[in-house]
Amino acid sequence: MNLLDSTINGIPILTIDAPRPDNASAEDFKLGVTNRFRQGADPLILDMNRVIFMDSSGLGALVGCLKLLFKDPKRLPLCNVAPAVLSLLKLTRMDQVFLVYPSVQAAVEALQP
Amino acid sequence: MKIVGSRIELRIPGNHPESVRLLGVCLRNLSLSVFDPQGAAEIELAMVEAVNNSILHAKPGASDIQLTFSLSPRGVEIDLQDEGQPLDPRILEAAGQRWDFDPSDIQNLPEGGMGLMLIKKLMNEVSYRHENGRNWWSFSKFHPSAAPTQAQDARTTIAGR
Repeated sequence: MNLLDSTINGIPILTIDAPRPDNASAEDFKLGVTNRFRQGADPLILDMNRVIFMDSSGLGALVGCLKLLFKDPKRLPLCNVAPAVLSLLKLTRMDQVFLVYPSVQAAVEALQP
Repeated sequence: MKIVGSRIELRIPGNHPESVRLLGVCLRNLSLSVFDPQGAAEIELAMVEAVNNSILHAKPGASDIQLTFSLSPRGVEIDLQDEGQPLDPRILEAAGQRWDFDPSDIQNLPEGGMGLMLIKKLMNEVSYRHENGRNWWSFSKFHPSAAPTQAQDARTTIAGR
């Protein structure tokens, strides 16, 4: 799975460069996020603008990163979430856990003091 | 992929998770002949979860996972067969009934166990039986005009019960 790094105002942003991250790529994703967290990427904005579909293994990987690393949903905000992914969050009630922003800029602004 | 009468048969290897993505895209696009994009996306998610489940419980050397897609007067019907470990019917019955967690209790959030719950929420009927060493699943999703007006989990049927 390709993960693309960028920053805005010093805040790290990780773009998931895969339209359909699947069971096979969930471990790649967790490893990629873990490596960045250990290098100081906390908070980390997840830009999901290229993801059009995600299954429960992908969602499980997101939840695992939140539990193991960031501990607080404010430290791992999601943005540009496609309707199918938002629907998955709602069906599993994870929309009550993760903070979802309409754009990277909105997530950056929410993280600034 | 094979067209047999009014059915479309799809087969993927039980040991090849990468095939699931393509299968999901096929089923979504087939479903667009009956459903709007949201309904078709729901079918894709439910069937990806079902096939992931089949792969997870596949036995070494098992034959292909076979799906059959057909249109019905009410919507679509998808049958799935595999040779994996049989499912304990109690797990299917209980799926989704105890999907309860405190969203603020981060350390105890569930990371798995969502697949069957999602299938039951997204499809209108789910039936399962284990026969002659094979798992036989049948899933139906009704067109909105034929579906119950209130959202509810799928009617679940388990053979012999």
